[in-house]
Amino acid sequence: MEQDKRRRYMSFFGPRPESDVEDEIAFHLEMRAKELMARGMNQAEAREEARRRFGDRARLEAEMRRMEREKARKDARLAFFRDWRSDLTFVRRSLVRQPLFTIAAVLTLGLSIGVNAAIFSAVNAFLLKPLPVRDGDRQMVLMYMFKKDNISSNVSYPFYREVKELPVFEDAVAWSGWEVALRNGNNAQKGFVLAGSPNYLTALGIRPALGRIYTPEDAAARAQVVVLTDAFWAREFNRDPSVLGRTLHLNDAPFTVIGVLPPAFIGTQPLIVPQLMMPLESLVSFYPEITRNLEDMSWGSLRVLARARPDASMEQIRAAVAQYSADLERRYPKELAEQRVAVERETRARPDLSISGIVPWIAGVFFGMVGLAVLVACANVTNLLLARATARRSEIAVRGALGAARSRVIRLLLTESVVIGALSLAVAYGLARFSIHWFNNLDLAIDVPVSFGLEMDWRVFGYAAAIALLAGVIAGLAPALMGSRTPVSDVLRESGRSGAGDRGRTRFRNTLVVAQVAVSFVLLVCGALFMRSANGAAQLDIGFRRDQLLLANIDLSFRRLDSAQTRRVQDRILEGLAALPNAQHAGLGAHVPLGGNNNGGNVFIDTRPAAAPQGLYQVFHSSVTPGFISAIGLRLREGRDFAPTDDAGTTPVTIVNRSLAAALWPGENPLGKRFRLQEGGKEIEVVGLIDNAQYLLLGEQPRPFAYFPLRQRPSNLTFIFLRTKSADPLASVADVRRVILDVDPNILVTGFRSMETHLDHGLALFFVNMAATLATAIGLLGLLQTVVGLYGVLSYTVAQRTREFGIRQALGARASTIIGQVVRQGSVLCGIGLGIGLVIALALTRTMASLLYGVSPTDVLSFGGAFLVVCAVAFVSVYLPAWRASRVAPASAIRSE
Amino acid sequence: MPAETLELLRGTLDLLILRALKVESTHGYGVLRWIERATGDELRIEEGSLYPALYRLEKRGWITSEWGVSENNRRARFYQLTRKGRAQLETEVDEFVRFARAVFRALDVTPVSA
Repeated sequence: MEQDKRRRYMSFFGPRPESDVEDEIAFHLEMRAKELMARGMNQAEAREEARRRFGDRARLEAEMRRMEREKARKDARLAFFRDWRSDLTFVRRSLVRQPLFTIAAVLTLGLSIGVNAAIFSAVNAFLLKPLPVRDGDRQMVLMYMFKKDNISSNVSYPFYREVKELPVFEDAVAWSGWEVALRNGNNAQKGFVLAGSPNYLTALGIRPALGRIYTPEDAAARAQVVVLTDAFWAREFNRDPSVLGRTLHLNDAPFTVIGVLPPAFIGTQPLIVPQLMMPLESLVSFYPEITRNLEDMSWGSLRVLARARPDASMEQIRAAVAQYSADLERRYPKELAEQRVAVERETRARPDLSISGIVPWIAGVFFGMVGLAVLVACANVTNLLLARATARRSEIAVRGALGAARSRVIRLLLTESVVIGALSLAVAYGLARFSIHWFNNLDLAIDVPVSFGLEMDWRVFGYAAAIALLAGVIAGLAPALMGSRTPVSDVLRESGRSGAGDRGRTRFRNTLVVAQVAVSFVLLVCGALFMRSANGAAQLDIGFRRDQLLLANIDLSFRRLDSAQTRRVQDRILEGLAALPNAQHAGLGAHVPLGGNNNGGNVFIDTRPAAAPQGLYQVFHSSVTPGFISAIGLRLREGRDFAPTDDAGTTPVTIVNRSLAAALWPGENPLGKRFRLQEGGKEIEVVGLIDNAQYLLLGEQPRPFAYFPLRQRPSNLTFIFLRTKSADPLASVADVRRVILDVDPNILVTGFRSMETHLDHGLALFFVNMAATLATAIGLLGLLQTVVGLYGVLSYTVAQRTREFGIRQALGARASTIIGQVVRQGSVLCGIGLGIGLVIALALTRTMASLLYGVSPTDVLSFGGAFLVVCAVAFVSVYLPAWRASRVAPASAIRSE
Repeated sequence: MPAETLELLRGTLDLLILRALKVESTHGYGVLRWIERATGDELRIEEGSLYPALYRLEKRGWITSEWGVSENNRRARFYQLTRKGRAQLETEVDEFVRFARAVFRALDVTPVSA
């Protein structure tokens, strides 16, 4: 009987298949025996008869046990989901009941996860996502690297053909980008064409969305055919399928549209979206030299992607390429002496081998920052949950006393924080979508169409979801564990009031405060440094002027002009510009400094005065007209500007910068000195010396640079440089258009912009500005979270002690004493946090040194500013609640919470 | 109690259990006794078939069980019909009647009542 009773209670605590089956059978036998006895059998007979009738008891019992266990498992599963549903219902109610808490928690977490996901989408686009081509994860980039400064340079067609045959590669493609004057009927525009090797589209496994792709046969026939990219098809032809067979004019040569590419494939040139693709060989129809160029080992204009064999390791590939590099150097001792061949996985070579090395660094710094932001957010949500857990202590303790297992209570509280995590994921998703959209639609002052390729793909979403879930669990873990541990007796004794006690919890919250102060200090320092860096970059001496300078791009390839005609047209444009009433100086130049690509080329100087060190020299150069130097504001130190008399028939002349002069004629006056560009070429005389400027990358070391007269080294593509009298150079746009229209209405003039826009929104400062914007945003997010967090924690701690303050005031303590004490306690915590933050910030900013312009990684202003801001926020967070607590009438403070 | 009892027709056990539980919720022995009494002790129900059948019906969601205290104050498992089981009982009764009528017609016997 005693045992029976125990079992009865046990049944509350879950099914016990063994004893249940036993009980049921025993009960059955007993009932049967009782019935038989009622009919007159004695007890022994009745029992015997009951057992006999029952049959094979052992077999049945075994079968019933099996079924019972199966049922128990199913019940447990059902119970789990039922409990979970009730947990969710409970969580929903409690979140709805406290909307302020919910909004604060969800926004805090959601914003930082959103920023995190946005950063991740950039990392995904730049570092993770393989090209959407056949075996994208096996594609290798091959380029020349200058041994001296690791600047990469493009390769030649013979190089490509040889690389294609290396045994570690299955196949290879080559391509180059071409700016063309693109005419569709009467509509002329600037176009960007990707000209590829014969196998370019076939080897990359591209299937046409419409029509066909070009094939090696088209290349062999030099067929005048083009394939459109999806974006161009949509923009120019509104996705009209009848575009097949239409004629487009590239630099006045007719080309037939044979197909449209799928939307996913935008070519293999990082960041750039061409409008058209065609075979390299077909360029001959508007660029006759291409046939000769394609045979020239030193014609470095191509990029190469090679598909590695599946079984070739990276080491084998590197070894094979190194061997090939040494072989090349032996065969071309003059042309390729300064270069080696570099090979890298395509995903590791974006956007260019010269700078792809620091891309993971930048990504790391930003990941670190947003990671910290998420941690702060977690800490904030933890705080909010803790504060609430304290307020809900009695409820949870009572649940425990009523028999809810501790694991159930933990599960309930964790469910709550995971739900908060899920809601934040929704906020994060929205924010990330918005940021990606914003970023992809940035208006850049760059002459070629650019795409960053950021998108919300499964990787980004999965990443955000994982962070949200993790953040939910992390934020909820401590409050759940602490909340579930409270013994009911404590809570009931306090009858719901909370004293200053509970040391564990207080210590935990103090730790959070310290961590939060430290992290937000670090974030603020980083934000401030990047902001100062953007400012520093804007102040950097770039060697020319930024203000009052109008730029535009003019393209004379619309008609095939001979060189005399080209010169005449350029002369007339220049005269027209110089005559404008708003013009101070006007000039034309083949390149804009800091315009990213196509700034100069590689030139070898083979006559060398004895004073110069041995070896070949690498110089970048450009062709400009008289007036260019004054218009752009380069500082001419010695000699003269070019004159109209520096023409094809007269002595070749050049203006060089100090860096070039110092390399070739150290310590001498370079004026009158001479060098050649090619072996056996004409001697070129230096007529002017200019200060160094920045040409390729902002903040670069001074590099040798030479300018030549446009008349002596002509170019079809030029930029207008117009220094205006008006402060706003764009005031002259209409005038410039009219000048060009007067010369020839068919000249394509595009890309009007001021030099300031070119720098700020072009390649030069864009990334610096982006970094500053982003870092500032993250810093502000961190600050906001700190305000929420610190104020929340400290004010809550103070509010908890309201009763204590009341008693102390009643006993004669003065309000100022109490405030002083609270503020002192807060200051100690903040001081510790600032100390830790300082150490972390110093360690972190040192690694950022290479990303900062014109500002030291230990910049006093940034550190000081961050220090003051954190102190101010902390002080307000402590002082306000303390002051409020001291104002409460002692009696009411004692009576209530 | 007759010496010989009729063998239970296949499939009818489930029907009889459901019918038994329609009267009242009861334990396994109660179900057995109800069937024996209701058939005038003509049908012999094996314990070895009854209990597995109860599990089977529970698994199908036609009945549920819970532990309770019996009339003689013993711990016993009580079975009861679910809403789903009630509906099932109605269909099974209909089907059985149609089946029985068909068999009667074939045997050329008039049933006492439908």
